[in-house]
Amino acid sequence: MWRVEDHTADVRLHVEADDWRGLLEESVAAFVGFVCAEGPPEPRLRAMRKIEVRGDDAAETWVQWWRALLRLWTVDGVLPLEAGIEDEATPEHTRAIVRCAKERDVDTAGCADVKAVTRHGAAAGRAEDGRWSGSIVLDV
Amino acid sequence: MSEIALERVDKAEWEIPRTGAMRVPGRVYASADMIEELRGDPCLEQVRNVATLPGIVGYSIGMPDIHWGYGFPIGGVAAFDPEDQGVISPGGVGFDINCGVRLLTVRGVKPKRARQHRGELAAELLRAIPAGAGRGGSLKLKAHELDHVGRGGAAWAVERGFGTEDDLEHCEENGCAEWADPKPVSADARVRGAPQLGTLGSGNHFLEVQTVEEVFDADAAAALDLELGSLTVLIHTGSRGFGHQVCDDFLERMVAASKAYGIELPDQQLCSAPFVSYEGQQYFGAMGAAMNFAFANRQVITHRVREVLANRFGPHAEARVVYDVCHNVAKLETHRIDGKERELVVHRKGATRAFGPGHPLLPDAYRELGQPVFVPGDMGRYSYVLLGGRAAEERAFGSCCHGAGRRLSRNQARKRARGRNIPKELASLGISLQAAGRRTVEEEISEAYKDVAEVVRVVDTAGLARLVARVQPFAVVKG
Repeated sequence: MWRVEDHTADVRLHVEADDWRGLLEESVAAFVGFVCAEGPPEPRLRAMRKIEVRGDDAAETWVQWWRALLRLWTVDGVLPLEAGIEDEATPEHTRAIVRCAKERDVDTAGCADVKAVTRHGAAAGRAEDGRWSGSIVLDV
Repeated sequence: MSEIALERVDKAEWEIPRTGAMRVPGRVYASADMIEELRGDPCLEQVRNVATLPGIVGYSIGMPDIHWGYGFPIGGVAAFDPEDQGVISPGGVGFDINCGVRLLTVRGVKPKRARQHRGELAAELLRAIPAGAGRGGSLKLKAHELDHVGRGGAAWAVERGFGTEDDLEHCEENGCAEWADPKPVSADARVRGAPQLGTLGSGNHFLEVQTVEEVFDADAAAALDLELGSLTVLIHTGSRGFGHQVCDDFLERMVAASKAYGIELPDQQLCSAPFVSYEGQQYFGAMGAAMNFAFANRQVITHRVREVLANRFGPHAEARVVYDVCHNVAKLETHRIDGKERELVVHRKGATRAFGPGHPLLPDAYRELGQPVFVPGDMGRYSYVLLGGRAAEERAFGSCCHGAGRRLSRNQARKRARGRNIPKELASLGISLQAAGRRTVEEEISEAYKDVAEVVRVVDTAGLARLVARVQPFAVVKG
């Protein structure tokens, strides 16, 4: 599950899942859900992209993951729709295949303009009950 | 977070005393009512955090429109001495490098006629100046052409017919950061920037056609060509994806640089490097290139505005640049500290340069007046024109506020707008709104912002800038 939390000038997304892989999968739903508030696009053709991110800890890898998702949209021109995370993924090193919509299949007029991923209060970690959660602030 | 102590030092000036790792005290410009609202706000903690950075001089400063930013507060000013390990920080500039405002005065069009045609005017402006998420414009530059934009700024646009030499004279830095170096700008930044020159963007960016509704200083207003009832155009935009990517790229590099130079960070977004270091100079050059992209962007938009005015109202319609000011920049400037002139790296994040009368960097036309400063409000109310004051130079590194500051988060604003017809509400006020998307309109409702009148009253009281005129929109373009 994911939700938008209040932040004065920008947007903070909070994501939760049973495990690290689930957290990353759910974060893609959060990304497309936030960008396309009126529902994700239904593309005619899907583009596949690989993402590989590393970090010294879960929080750093989390930031790099979000940066990679945003880069697909702002630089590659494909909107991430869902991710397949490899089984060996760890909070220090994760590889994934991301299924994306091409920009021409996205109604950009209804999209939120996410301009950057910030490190401001970025956090990811496992709670005592074993569930994972992460927060990220997006510059919009 | 414990509440931060604030001591009143003047009618509109408060001090955060130096404690812990702070190298200098904090100073916040605000009214007593504003201070009550700010108590407990994380932005005051951010003023304190900035005061811990190496080489900071004088004070870590918060303007009356201060609010919670990333690392540095928005509405923050800080100056660092390069000769005393002073740093430069991408977080102290912000993502939208050289986000700024440009004011035009319009002649040759009867204000009444312009207001009568406000609907068509707003629609034509939106067609000519693309707005909204990631939207590209009619100029599609090749990646290497961005090097020329990054070096030339507004002059690049003027050389290609988008404006006149006179426009350049009426821009901060004459529309060009001369120290710019596009070489460290990444391929990703070029990809993002290539289609976006001449576009407005989204969020709080806007273009408004306005009338001068109130004049506070008739002589100064006349010198700026702002007669009561006359027409103006206010353009608010920045360096688009180009600048955002430069900031993002360098935040990554500066996190590593901070560790390498042993800079202790209370917040990762304060990551920085000594100004004189390799990383510091690389960022300074790339940031300059992004500044120039923004100057060129506002210059191309100015040209489009002129085209729209001429098409609708005839060839006698003229739009003259009053001035173009930056909001999010770091610049090497000379300031007098304890009686001695020192060259400092002045960071303004959500703040405006506001040099007072006599400053040598002002154009001849404004040297005796002080620098024009434009403080936008919100799309349903008004904006202000001011002139920089000497106190700004003496107490705030020649700076003042940049806007109203948000009161509601974007989420709260959208909830508040639910079920309402915002364009219709604005129409009832005589304002025609054209927007690329409904979402931005909801997020940018008037009540999402503080009343900018309270903000400018504070800088006027503090002597940072003096009020000249109030302008009110009747045609608004949003992203």
